[in-house]
Amino acid sequence: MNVRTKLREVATVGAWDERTLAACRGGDRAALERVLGAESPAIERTLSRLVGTRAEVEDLLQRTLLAAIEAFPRFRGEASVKTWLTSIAIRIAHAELAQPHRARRLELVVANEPVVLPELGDSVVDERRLRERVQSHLATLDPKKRIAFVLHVVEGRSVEEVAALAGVSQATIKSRIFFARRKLVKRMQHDALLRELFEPRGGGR
Amino acid sequence: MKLACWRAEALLDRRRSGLDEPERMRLEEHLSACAACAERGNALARVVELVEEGFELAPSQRSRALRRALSSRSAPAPVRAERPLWQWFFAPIAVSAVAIALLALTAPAPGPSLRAFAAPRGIDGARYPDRLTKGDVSVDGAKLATGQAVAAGAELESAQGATLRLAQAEVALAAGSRVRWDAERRLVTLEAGSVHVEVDPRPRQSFGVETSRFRVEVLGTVFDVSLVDVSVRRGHVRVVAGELETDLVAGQRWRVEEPSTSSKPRVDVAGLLAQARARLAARDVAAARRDVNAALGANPSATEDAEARSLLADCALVSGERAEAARRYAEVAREHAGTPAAETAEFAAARLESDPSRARALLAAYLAKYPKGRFHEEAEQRLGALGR
Repeated sequence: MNVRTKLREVATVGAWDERTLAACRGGDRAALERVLGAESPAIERTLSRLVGTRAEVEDLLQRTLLAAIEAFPRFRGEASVKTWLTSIAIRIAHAELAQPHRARRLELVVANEPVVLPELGDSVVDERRLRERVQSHLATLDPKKRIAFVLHVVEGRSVEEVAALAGVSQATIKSRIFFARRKLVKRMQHDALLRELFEPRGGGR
Repeated sequence: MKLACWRAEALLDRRRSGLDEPERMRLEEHLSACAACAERGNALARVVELVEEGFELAPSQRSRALRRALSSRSAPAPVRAERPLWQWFFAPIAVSAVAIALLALTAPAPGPSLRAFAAPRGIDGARYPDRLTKGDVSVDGAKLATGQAVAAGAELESAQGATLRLAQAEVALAAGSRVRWDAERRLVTLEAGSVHVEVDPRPRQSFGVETSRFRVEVLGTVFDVSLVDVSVRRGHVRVVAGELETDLVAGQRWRVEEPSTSSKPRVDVAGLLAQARARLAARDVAAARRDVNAALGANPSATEDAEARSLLADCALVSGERAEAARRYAEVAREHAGTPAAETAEFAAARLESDPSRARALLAAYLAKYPKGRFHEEAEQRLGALGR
């Protein structure tokens, strides 16, 4: 492999070459399928941390992809395709999380009582129960604060990146994270089922 | 200098994205001295563990989402070709010449072509301006004139009946109907009465009608929608009501289940699963199984399906049917791969295996798939006890 080929490869690792992007801008179906199909898994993971079911993630993914296809002619490549798609996904997730019908579903999750089984009671059922419980508390947060918290604290994105994705200032994101964390921790402290999360694991920090 | 609690909290938020060594040391020093922050730190770390798992869709779901998105898009806007440099000099002259010619030819009042050019533009590029074509429609109490544009987001009410052109569809409102029009999503929300819809398939764009109880997705067809039913005269629609999806073709009709005055409530899948869990805790396995099977028969979501099948495995376990329980856990791990339920089920199946060599293989497979999984410590311990 000669140097020129190697450089071209390096240039496309983590990025798409200009010919492919131009084809996407022109609405070429094969190019769109290739690019969006490759970028979808990361988007799905982010969406799944924000919303609950596979059906919802599939629906939000479809809406994200459609918005991306419609907007591709205007994509100039200032950010990577992945970052650009993530910003679209977050906007669409926020619109979904802000829907009033979601509040009704939460009541069912919080009301569910866990079952502790003799042989599996310790680790297996506990983890499931704990996750559902934490998700139910996260779902009570304002959508913008919830998204900021998940992107920064859970996914580990920098404040700068989260601000760019959300289209707001870093100070706004810091404030959203601060209030999200405060409210989440306070709710968890008042939830008897989650008390154990505040204890050190395995006797150490 | 000692770290204040509010600074420590900000560092705790950033732990996942990475702290530099001095920050990490200052945080550890603070946590060793401040019990409240230490507790909050423990809780946040566990929240991250529990939430970060996430999942990816199955390839078939991803393909379906992509296929639908590609089918729903508008025709791509033409890409403007680069103009040769000489055109930048001559273009203004050429435009002026054409303009002069047009002024000479056109009559004082705009002809049909200019009137069409001046017509209101639809959201997708002027091919389908949204407007009232016949009948009476009011928007916020103000009557629209025939031919008048319909604004995106408008709530439209018709006392006597009307016909509208909305995106690529002709929508006829029955007398006494009220709808809301979302131009960006090409979606009519029916709030009262009924509509008759004819959708032009040529633009290959989605078009939908929704009520509070279901949504109709269509691509080129003729159908009628009231608040409780959909009937198709030509083509093909999909009705989405909660987790239920039903495809209808010409001649078919679908109706919302009305709540009956006698007995049967609508199936509440989440409630059934909660009830099953409580019954299982009380060791009423037969009743728990009945609840779970009822939930499975009521079109559960993917998450509910995983929960229900896990509960059936739990029922088998409580009944002492270890082999059956292991089989069911393995089924959940396979059918819901990539979800937290699948990880739980995979570990549960490994724990149940009584044959040591098979148990070793299952535990090793779990650790290979989930090296930092929720049960990796226990899996490591068990594998160690079995002799690697």
